[in-house]
Amino acid sequence: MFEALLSYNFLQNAFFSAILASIACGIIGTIIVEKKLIMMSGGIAHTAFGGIGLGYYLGIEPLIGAMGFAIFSALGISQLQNRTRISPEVVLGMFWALGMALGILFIAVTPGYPPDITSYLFGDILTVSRVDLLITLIMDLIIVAAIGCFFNAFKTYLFDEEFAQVIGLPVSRLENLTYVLIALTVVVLIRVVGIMLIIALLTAPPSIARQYTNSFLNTILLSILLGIIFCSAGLWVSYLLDIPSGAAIIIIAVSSYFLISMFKKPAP
Amino acid sequence: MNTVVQLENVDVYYGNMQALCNITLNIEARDFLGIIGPNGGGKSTLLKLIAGLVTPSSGKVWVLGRPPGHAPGKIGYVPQRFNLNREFPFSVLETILTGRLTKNNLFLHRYTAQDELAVNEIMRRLDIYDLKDRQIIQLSGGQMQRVLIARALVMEPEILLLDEPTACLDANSKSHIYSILKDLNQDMTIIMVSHDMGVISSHVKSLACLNMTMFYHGLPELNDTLLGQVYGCPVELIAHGVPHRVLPHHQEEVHV
Repeated sequence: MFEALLSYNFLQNAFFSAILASIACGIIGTIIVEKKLIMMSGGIAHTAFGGIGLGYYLGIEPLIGAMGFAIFSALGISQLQNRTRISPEVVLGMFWALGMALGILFIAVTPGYPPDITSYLFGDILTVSRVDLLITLIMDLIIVAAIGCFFNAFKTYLFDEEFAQVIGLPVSRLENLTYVLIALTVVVLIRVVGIMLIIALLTAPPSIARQYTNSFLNTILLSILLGIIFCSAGLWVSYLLDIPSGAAIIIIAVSSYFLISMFKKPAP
Repeated sequence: MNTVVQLENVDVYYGNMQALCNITLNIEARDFLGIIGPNGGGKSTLLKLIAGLVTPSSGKVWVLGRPPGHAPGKIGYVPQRFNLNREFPFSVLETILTGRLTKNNLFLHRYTAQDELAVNEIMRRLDIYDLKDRQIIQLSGGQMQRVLIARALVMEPEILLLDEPTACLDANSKSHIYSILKDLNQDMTIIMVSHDMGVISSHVKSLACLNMTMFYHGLPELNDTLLGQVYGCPVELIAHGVPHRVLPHHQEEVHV
């Protein structure tokens, strides 16, 4: 594996992508688990598929389309939630399916041979390009800077929104920022594990990390480390056995969670 | 005396449901106002209005001379229901520290040694110093309530809003909290919602009876007709078994 890693460019890209994606994933994963935004993130991911279709249709980079759709849906869902008193799940469910429908529609009306959508749905870390790496790096910088610079404000907001409002924190701006950062993370992860599998890679590492630490920062750091381990292990298994990488990563992540939770002594 | 909270003909609606109707109320500095009234009478809404969490459907509200929500850091709020994330990885210390956060220096914000000193002092005062490093998920209801009171007090607010602050507390903690509140009241306005008539009668300086509209606002002395009006139920149910009576004596005692 290490020889192959040194000699094959695509493996190096895949490995760096695993590390960079895990950084975004560890930070945002911890936030969505604490703020119970897991289904929201799943919804944003699936809506992004519409953007991938649109990207193909317009002949631009599909991930750019995905980013547009992801950000639009993240802010749209939050707006609709605040404006109507309908349960968020309802709006989310509609966005979720609408995104998929639009994606399929755009791909169907795009002239020529239909593109390979499997790699977007289930990820293919072995095909990550230099450009993809660069996009991931920029997303990471944005996420780390945003959370890092306003760390205490974010913690207070995640812990108690009402109190945050009383002490004058810009709660709605923090909320929108959180949603946009989720959207960016989703875009980063599409390449690695694909739209259908994103939720598990976001939630498994923090859920394991939380069993070992009582600090928010350590949960994030441990999640990043676990993400790197899961992604590299998945990458290695997928290279060795020639199986889909996204599936390998997710199966390793989720089974690790089950194994660890099973053998962990219950908290006193 | 200067007025710190001023409400003028305020209505609040949640959708089609009216929570407050035509409330006009002035609260003076260093008052200790107790608010009583039946469930769903709008007591919590009134506090939220002052905290800036609820906007009036009509009428005007001023808090410290400004619209509510524009005097952050000067208003401490202890909610009745914990709308917070109990599972969040926060220790008691970290939870109370968030009371020191202000909107002005959020960028690369760090809590200072001074912040920690203030938190330590408040924790000692409220007898929760031993719980310092405990995770909040491990706290009992009463301990959590004291942590939230500490979080509000560590802000050193000018106005303290308390929504049934002692509902989960045992008798000892209760009287302890009230003696602290009495101290604080020397330079802090306190507005408190409570169902506990004993507490109301022995601790507050003025009283408001609220059931959608304001039935009474004045000295903490009530007559049974008024209480009957506010609660819409026999007064004896509320007034009996209370060490310090709110009410002047009735014609006859009813023993239950």
